[in-house]
Amino acid sequence: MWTLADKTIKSRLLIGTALYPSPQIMVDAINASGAEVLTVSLRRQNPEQGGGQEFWNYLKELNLNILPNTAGCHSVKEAVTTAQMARELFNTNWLKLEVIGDDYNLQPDPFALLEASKELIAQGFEVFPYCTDDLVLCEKLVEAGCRILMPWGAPIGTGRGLTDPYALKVLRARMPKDITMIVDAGIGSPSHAVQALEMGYDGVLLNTAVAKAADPIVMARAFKHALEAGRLGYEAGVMPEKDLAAPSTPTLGTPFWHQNK
Amino acid sequence: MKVLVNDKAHQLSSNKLTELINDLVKGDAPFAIAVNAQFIPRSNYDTIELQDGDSVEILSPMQGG
Repeated sequence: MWTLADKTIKSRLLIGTALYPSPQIMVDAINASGAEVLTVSLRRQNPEQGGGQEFWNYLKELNLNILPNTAGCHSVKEAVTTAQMARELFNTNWLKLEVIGDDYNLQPDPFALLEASKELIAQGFEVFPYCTDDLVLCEKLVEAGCRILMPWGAPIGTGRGLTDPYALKVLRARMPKDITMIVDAGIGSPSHAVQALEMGYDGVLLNTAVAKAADPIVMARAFKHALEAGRLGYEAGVMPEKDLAAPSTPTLGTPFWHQNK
Repeated sequence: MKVLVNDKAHQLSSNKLTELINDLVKGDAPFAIAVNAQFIPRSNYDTIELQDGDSVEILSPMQGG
């Protein structure tokens, strides 16, 4: 068990609800993943036709923790208004704060992200900022009151994994231990999740890697095991790397035909 | 009176936000409202009077990552 904001949960996987081949596959994949936190969004839909009703019914059926996002927001004002609407709609103060600065790679705008974080924390939100792996930005977010940081592994939806493991490693080492750190975005395969957890990250947030897998339900299970393996690897303590080979089999008692070489 | 609802023109017989909601929102899925890009808390719906040309956003739950 571990603590995420004010909740004690078991799974270290936070999973998105978009892009699945069908709603039923989404439900089955989420159940197979063991995830207890779902990211969701809010959008214009046709209210006269009960827009959002079907998805809402699935959320009720899943009955998990909801983490609304501010996807698509490009300014502090847009993000704050969307956050306020999300809090009321989903009845939670949790918020995955996204303020996009560049549409090509969906890179967060660090300046607007910081400003929006300050504003939303003042309004009582638990801000989960989707950020880059920039150390100084993360320090400022923590100073602003963020208890959780969500640096990207790679741009959203690319599946490129941890493109700068050095930066992520330094970031984890430099942030206070009580700051929850989740790699968000860019995870493509279970091994990427293992890598993040072995570094000491507390969890990963992903969507496309499961939803766009050839078999989302089996991939969800693979990620479940990957997160468990990565965390156990971190807790066990990975051996230090060495440049020179060292035999693992004892050399004492080597047979004579080896000794005569 | 004419307002925009989710960017589509909508004719209203009264200026009450609550009437717009009663006219338009079906089902029991939750929703949230902004008027002219300003969030309107549910507790304030009764007091909001719309003006001609106002832009009303009604947002619903949607899949997200």
